[in-house]
Amino acid sequence: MNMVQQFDPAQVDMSRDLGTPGAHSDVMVNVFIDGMAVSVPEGTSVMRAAAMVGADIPKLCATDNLNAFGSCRLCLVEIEGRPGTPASCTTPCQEGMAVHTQTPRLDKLRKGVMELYISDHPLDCLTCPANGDCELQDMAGAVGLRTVRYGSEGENHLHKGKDESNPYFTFDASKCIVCSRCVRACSEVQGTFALTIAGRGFGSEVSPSEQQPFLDSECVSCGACVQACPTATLQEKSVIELGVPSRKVKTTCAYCGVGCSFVAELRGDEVVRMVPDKQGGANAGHSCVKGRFAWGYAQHQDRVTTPMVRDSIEDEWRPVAWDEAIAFAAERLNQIKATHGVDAIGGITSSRCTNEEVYVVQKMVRAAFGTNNVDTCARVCHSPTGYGLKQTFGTSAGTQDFASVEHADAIMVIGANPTDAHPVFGSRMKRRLRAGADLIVVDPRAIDLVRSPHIEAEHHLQLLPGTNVAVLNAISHVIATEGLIDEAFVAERCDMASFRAWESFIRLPENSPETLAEVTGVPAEAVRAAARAYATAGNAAIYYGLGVTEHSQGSTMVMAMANLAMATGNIGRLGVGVNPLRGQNNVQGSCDMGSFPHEFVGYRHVSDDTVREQFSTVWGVSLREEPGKRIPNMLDAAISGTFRGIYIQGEDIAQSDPNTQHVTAALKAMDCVIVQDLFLNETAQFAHVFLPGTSFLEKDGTFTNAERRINRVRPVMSSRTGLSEWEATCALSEAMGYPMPYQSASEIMDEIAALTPTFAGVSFELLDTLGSVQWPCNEQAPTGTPIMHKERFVRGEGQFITTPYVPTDERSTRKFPLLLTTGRILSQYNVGAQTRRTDNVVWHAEDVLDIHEADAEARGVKDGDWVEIASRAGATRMRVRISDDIPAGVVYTTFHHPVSGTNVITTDNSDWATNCPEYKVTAVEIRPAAEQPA
Amino acid sequence: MTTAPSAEHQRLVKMANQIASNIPTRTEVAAQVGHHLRQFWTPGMRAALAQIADDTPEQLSPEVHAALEGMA
Ligand code: SF4
Ligand code: SF4
Ligand code: SF4
Ligand code: FES
Repeated sequence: MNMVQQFDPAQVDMSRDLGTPGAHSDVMVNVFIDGMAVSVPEGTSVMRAAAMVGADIPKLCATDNLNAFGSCRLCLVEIEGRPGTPASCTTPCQEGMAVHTQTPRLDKLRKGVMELYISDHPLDCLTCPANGDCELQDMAGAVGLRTVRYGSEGENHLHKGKDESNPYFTFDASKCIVCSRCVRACSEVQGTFALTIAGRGFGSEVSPSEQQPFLDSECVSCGACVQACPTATLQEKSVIELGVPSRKVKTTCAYCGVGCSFVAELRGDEVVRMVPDKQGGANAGHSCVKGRFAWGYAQHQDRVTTPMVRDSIEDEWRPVAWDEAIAFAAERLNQIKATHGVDAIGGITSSRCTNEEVYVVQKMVRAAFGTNNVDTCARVCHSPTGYGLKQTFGTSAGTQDFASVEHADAIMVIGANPTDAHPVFGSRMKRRLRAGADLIVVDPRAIDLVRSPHIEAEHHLQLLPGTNVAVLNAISHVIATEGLIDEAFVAERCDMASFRAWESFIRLPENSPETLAEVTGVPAEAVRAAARAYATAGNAAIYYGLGVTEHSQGSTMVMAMANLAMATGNIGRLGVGVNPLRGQNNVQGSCDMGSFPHEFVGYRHVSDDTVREQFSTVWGVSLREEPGKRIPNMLDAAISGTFRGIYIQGEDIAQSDPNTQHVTAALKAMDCVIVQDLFLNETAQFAHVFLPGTSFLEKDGTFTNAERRINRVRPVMSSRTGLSEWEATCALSEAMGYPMPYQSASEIMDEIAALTPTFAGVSFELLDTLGSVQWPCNEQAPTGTPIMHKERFVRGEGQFITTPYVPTDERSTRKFPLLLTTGRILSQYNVGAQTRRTDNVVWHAEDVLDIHEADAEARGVKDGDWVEIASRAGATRMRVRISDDIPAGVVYTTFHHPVSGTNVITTDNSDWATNCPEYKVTAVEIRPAAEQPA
Repeated sequence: MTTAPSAEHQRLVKMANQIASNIPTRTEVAAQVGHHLRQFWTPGMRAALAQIADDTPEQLSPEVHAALEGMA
């Protein structure tokens, strides 16, 4: 044994395809691969062990994100003392095994296998789009195939046609080797089960759903099959059009809060494709249609790349140089400041921008404007998360990493639709559900998860919109009265006085599921069953979304969930926790970066003298100790005439904020509206200065995803506007008299780290070394913190808070008898500014209104009819779709298209603690409308 | 100006009453409401609310009045 070389597993380049997935075992086995000793976890395949020591075995049907299948027979090996030539991908390593990967016998066998494949494959390698990026080609080379004995005259598949229906990839059946990698990717990785192998033997072929074109099938265009395909059968259209890429840059998707890592592959300055990064901490090589394919908006012709100004919003825009635009903006803001005082101006930061870009905007507002009037678009989505989790646990962040879901025994999904809004995490969750975890869905709508291939929610509490707190209180009531509280956890980890107060409150009969059933519409027995399932599962995890926060009791609901998790001891370890699924990519980051008017970076109140002193010293300016205005207060004050200038970073408040009429009236009333964005959005109609923004492909900085993971965003191409966004902000700040002379984005992060205890260890250098890191990252946790509140809560002891249910003012009435609730779909993103400028529109050409059959019938409306939807705020028109996903009395729509004007009808009701708008409940009436709006 | 000039006041009234009815405590409502207003409202908004309490006291709930008194 001492004649052999011992291999060091730390040397393995994990970005390579090791053929089969890694095994999880504490037991190690020692094997010899071509004489090289290697020690691997029990369950590791011979193929993977060989790849680890650099002895790559030829393979076609194996790849390391899919379970081994053993169909191509190319990966044969010889094992001493065993007869035959087993497939290395399906053979697990056993102690002492001696494997040979290269022998004359194997050579011959492999050549024979390859020959068969090649004889039924078009030999157009030179003109094939995958030339140079094809595993079949590589393997022919690897096995040394030089001649093919069988002609292509025999029966073959070369005549098969192409399916080009999907806008982003083609399926060229003539090139298919029926390795099943696509089929397995669709089921194992994506969980959609859209593909099957139809037919048998020679006649077998890949088929989407029931022999349909891809576009008409169940396919959600995640790209996993394209990624898995070893040939050019499934191929990105952009590669066919532009050619195989020649350089790569690692970066992060700029759509949702999952924060998937991608490798941008380019030819020169042109992006050819975005490939999900196998080593991405959040996505581990998976993607969804948005990040994978819908990046074309960055080059869309509508993009404005020159600064523009105008004296009044009636005037035409005047394109100007950066200097002029900055000077114009600075002069106007300074003028307002001089005439109306510092409180008359403010700014809004964007969750689509990097941490560094957000940081400089809030710094400019506090230091150069001299006010705390800074808020963020997270106001309209997750501000209640910030409030609720801070009160109970001590910090405003999800408790787990995404991978934690793989250890959950019961998963409670509340007001979230992960398969559409957080698809890559949704796939991970579905994998766990298929493996047997219990699913509890709390949602007025039967979201896809409730019933999808191989998944069925054991519990679906189909509550009436606006009654979240009542349902959660009822669940906790059951837990408290049926002896399901984890007394030991509570005694050890939580504040006992607060627990006792909460317990006596929650035990009150007013909180019983029986009492609340009438309000919530959920049968008491269903609540009891769900409560027991959650409390007795072992590891129970809560995942929630905007269906929790966008309510008048959004903050109360966040605290109710935190109470529930603490009472049952479901916090502080793998597989449990309370996890917000954030909408936009950098919601977590923009909140972390001090975007709220009452907090500095790292959630520290502006009235805290020590903290303020620290910032004052580093920034060299005195800072205010009183909170500033929130977005709705800024808008109200604008209408009253006391707020007159605003800097809006990457947001379209005229479209995304509630009660559009009110927002536009406020914008119109201001003297200086500065919009920084990619496109002339709706808000820009009311702007005096337009500063062109940069797309994520041009940005240098960091995004922080929903699991607190700080990911690098790297510039894939140079800025099309000539400046990066933070440079533009710094220029404005300087023109207003407060210079911020940063040389690079990494310098900005260094300042953030120096001022923020939870970011103390973060630097671009560390991120480049580790790939990503989850905050807190500091001396105590130098490589970050995947799971929070492990030994103690951030605030010390967990704080229980009583959560009385207070019904919203927004109730169905005789005039407005239906409750409208809103959501989003997979292919589109928010107000759609980006996705509508891509081919994703094939999946969602318009917003439609889902209505229950009974409600439709009562109003004489049929599927596909146009209707008018009216609330007390306004009216709009949409087409209806009859759906049984929602109960009678509830209607549902998305808000991805400006023409549907969903926010024309939403009211200005909001969360009591944070003013997060109550998007999820609006009382409406609908009636048939003759035609669509102009 | 086309929009009602009182929009801002209406909002403050609504916010304050809503905070008072939702504040998650049953024992020290006034103190908690006061704390909340200090934490999240600008001094201008607090002053405007105090003015509303004087001008049109009936618009605000007793808890809001108690909170304002406690803050004075
Ligand atoms: S793109 Fe995704 S959903 Fe569609 S077939 Fe391929 S793996 Fe399945
Ligand atoms: S389409 Fe590609 S991945 Fe699917 S079976 Fe054919 S060759 Fe394999
Ligand atoms: S899941 Fe979210 S972050 Fe990942 S690719 Fe899709 S949109 Fe981008
Ligand atoms: S790679 Fe092992 S049988 Fe195909």
